[in-house]
Amino acid sequence: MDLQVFIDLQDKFDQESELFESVKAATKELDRTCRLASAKLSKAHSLPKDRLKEVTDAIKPQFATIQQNIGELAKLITPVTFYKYKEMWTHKLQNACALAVFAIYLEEARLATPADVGEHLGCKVNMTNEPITEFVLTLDEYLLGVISLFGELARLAVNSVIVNDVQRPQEISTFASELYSGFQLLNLKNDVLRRRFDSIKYDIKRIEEVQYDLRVRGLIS
Amino acid sequence: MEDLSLMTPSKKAIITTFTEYRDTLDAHYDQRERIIKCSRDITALSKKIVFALLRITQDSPEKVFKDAEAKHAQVLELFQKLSKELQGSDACRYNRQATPGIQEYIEAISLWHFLQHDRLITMDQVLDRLSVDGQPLVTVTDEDYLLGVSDLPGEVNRYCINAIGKGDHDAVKRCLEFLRLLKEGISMVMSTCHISELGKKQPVLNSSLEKIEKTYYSMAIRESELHSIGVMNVDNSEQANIIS
Repeated sequence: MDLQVFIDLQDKFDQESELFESVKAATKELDRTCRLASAKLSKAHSLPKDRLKEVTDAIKPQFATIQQNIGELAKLITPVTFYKYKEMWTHKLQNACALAVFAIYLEEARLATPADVGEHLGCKVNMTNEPITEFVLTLDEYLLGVISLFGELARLAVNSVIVNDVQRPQEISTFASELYSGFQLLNLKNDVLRRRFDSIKYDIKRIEEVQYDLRVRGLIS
Repeated sequence: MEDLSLMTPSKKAIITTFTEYRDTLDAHYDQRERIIKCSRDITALSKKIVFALLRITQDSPEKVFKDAEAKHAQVLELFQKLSKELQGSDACRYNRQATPGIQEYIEAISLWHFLQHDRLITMDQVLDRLSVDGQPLVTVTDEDYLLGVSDLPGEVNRYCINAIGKGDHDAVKRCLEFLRLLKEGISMVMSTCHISELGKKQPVLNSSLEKIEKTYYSMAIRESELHSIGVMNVDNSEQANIIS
């Protein structure tokens, strides 16, 4: 009878439900690790530049755990289920990406490339529109992760002054404005990327204010 | 834009990579836009099929199905266009943009199937309708199918009311049985799946069912009343007037 259609559907959804729960559990783990890592990484704000290595070394084990978490998640996902469930992990993966981007900035004062991020997170990246064949970090996730860096940079500019480093805000400002000019090249639509992009200017403003304060007092030339 | 050669190396690297990102994003947004547009066209045409089908209470079934078939050929052309945008993993990537049209199409052909066969269309039959040379033009997910058929009650309800107006009392019974089955089926599936939109469609289903049950009720009561006063051969259309 016709009801069989629904019985079959129910069976299929039952099976999917298991996958759904596993993905949920895996993303929760990733989220936990990221929160911990984020807490550790934010110590960078209270240290002078020459002691940053303490933080970036301390964070390495956290990235190893993040890699494990992402590996577990990736194992559950096939190209077919990737986009269907992407919403479930995309925020956590963006956070993980933001952590990698910040850590790399602290270490080398440069923008992490997608390949760097992929290496830190232990997952493949796909910065193109090519079909995916496995679990990947996508372009929008990478860009959203990078946008989070502006917030950290603004904080870092303020905190540099607190630890008596008046030169660093200048470096941060140059870096931030170069990076911002990259984002300004994008033709964004009305979506989350656009909204996050719109918030960058406030971070830039905070960085500029620090510079203004320093210059007006003659602390930098 | 400043000259690339005048930039610091770090800025140059950023401009170069972000230009690539821009091209990738533009291509993605354009594709998404095309899919949304195509999906909208499919929705519009599917609605026309539904209206053509609902005229079955006024016209001969042959004419109605012929009209619908003509429109169906047009929809298939749109699906052929859509199919080009939804190759491989793009089918999943852009499912959210494509699904409104696919659902509306499923609604239309399942109404059609109901009118012809008195049955709920199956997934295989949907894919069969969507096929050219034995290959379905687009991927239809279980969610698309379920959400498509769960839009049926409103249309079945319309058909039912029109049919009574024309004195086809048998239709009420068929519609009622069909909607009861749908309700049972959908409630069953809802207990396990994670489709939020499905919940929004339930009130429509319930109110449609209630309307048909009420109609059936007044018909039944009217009939027994007529029996009791011995008026047996009342003209059907007259009776319909009493009910409505």
